[in-house]
Amino acid sequence: MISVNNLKFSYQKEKSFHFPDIKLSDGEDLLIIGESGVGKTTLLHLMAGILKPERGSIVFDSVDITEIGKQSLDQFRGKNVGVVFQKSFFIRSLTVMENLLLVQNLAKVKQDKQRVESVLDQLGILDKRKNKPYSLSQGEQQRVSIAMAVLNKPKVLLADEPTASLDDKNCLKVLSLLKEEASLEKAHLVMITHDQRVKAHFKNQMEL
Amino acid sequence: MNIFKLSVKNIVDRPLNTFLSLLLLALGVGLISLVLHISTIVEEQFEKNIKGIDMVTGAKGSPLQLILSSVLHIDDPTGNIELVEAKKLMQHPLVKKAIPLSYGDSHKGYRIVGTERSYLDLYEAKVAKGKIWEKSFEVTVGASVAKVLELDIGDHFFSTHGLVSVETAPGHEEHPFTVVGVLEPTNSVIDQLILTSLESVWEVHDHGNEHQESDDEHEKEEHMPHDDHEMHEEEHNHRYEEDKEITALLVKFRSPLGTIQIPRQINENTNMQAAVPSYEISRLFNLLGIGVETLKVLALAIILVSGISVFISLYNSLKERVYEMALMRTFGASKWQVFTLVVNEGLILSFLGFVFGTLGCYMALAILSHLSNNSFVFSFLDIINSKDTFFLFLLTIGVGVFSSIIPAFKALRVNISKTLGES
Ligand SMILES: Nc1ncnc2c1ncn2[C@@H]1O[C@H](COP(=O)(O)OP(=O)(O)OP(=O)(O)O)[C@@H](O)[C@H]1O
Ligand SMILES: [Mg+2]
Repeated sequence: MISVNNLKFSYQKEKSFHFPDIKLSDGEDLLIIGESGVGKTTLLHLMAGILKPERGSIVFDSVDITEIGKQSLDQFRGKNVGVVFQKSFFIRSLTVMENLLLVQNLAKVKQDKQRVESVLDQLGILDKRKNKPYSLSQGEQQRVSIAMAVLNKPKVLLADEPTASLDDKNCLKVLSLLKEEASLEKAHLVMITHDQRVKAHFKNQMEL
Repeated sequence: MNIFKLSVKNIVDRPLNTFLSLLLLALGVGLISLVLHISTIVEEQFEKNIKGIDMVTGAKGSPLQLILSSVLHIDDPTGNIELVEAKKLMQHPLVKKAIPLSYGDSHKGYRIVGTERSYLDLYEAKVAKGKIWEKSFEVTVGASVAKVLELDIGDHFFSTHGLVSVETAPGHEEHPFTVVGVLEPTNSVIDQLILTSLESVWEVHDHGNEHQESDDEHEKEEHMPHDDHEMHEEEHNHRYEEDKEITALLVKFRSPLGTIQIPRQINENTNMQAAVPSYEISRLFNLLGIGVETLKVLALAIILVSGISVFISLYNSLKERVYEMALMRTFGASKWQVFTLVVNEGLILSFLGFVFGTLGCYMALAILSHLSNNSFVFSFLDIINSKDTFFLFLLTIGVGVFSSIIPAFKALRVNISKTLGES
């Protein structure tokens, strides 16, 4: 269960964002659509707990993340929130496998190679586990990003325009991968986009 | 995978930067450590060798040369003094102990010293094998001499003029010396010496004079720079007591008063020279000290530069790694974890630099020790246990921490949202 209430945030004093409330019951996904610059990424960062709102609450199950201290927020994020950014980021010096093991370590989850391998297998990139991530193709990199985001079985999987730079075919592929992974790991998928192509694939939609 | 392993991976991922940083660190640490240990070893060695000798009397010349030749046996003698004169000095009430030395010849680079048994007591030398010399031409050799020249009891050899170790150097082929004993190692100058009686040295030269005129001339230059020895040439074989000469007399006084009074008396009233080892050695160290200080400053500068190299390496890599930091934070890393990550890298580099530098210093010392035929001994434990090494360790680790602290704070302050939202 996710609920966002009365959320307000501002980078500078003059301009502040008021976000509409969100309520997702178990198993529900959400697509957030909006023009460029409307504050989509800002909302995603607020929900991920990497920005602190001025006002309002963001509740995952029974925990309001706006009320937990910084240190435990880091940990909460590691365990409960998975984020897929528009661009893929990795630890350059580590292999795909090591990147994923680090993700487990940072969330203080027991390191489990089998779990890593099964996630990589689900995403069809098991054979790339010993490669350095930046040596992979864009599509493969995005899959590794998804693997990292879902690895710790988060409550919510946040995706920031994952399809923006993809052609129609790959757009659909990534979309279905994200939906599959989210339902497999029982996470809410909250996707943000200005990409009209993905509209048809979400029951729950919200316009910013 | 954890933060520490990641630090290691990151270091390995920038091999050139890492190599440069490690090279500079190891060089600086190794150089300082080498300078410190060599000066300590040399100082200890010198102190050990001059222990129990308050004054040395020998022929006039440079006092430092007298000490270097008579106590440390690393220089040529200043000349000879008359035994009669020396004996007079021995009778002085302030003199507690006096050891006559007569030397100038050597065998394969190891000096042959004619002396008395009291010389062995000075360095607490004990016989390991065989016995102490008794008859003329019997020798007891120091531990290193025996080891390096593979001398054993019953072996014979001839002496050579001076300290040259060349086979063709002019020598005394008439009287072979016979090894009758080998001493235990003392870690003092005695390990490097071939010891015999005063009479042996005198006899070698009497016979040498008999047969070789040219040799005689040579010898005159070397051992008798004073021209008041005319009679020497006339009476080769039968030296009287008053003709006999020694090269130096090592003196221990009954009270410190001796050190104050007697050297001046000798220098002013006789044609002999008196030198005080502790004074000459500290003068020598003051001179060497400038060099040692210069090297230390140089090495410190290298360590400083290595710190800057570590800093630049971390700072540069951080520019591209802010994304990694932000990524790690999104996946649950705390501020202090990313801070630790960067500091770890500085610490690991400085620790490795220290280890390589210390190992390098040890190897250099081992090579030096080997090249000098073990004229000094040291152990790896001595290096590890020394205070200098400990302070050097702290210094190096300090450099590692300081050079990584600014990049680490930069990592700590990464704005996750801004960094990852930018693209
Ligand atoms: N760190 C920041 N400091 C100040 N202003 C910012 C910052 N990040 C974003 N903004 C501003 O806030 C507004 C919303 O930005 P945001 O990135 O949320 O938009 P968006 O909807 O994700 O747009 P896009 O579709 O282009 O990604 C923009 O006008 C942007 O310029
Ligand atoms: Mg955006």
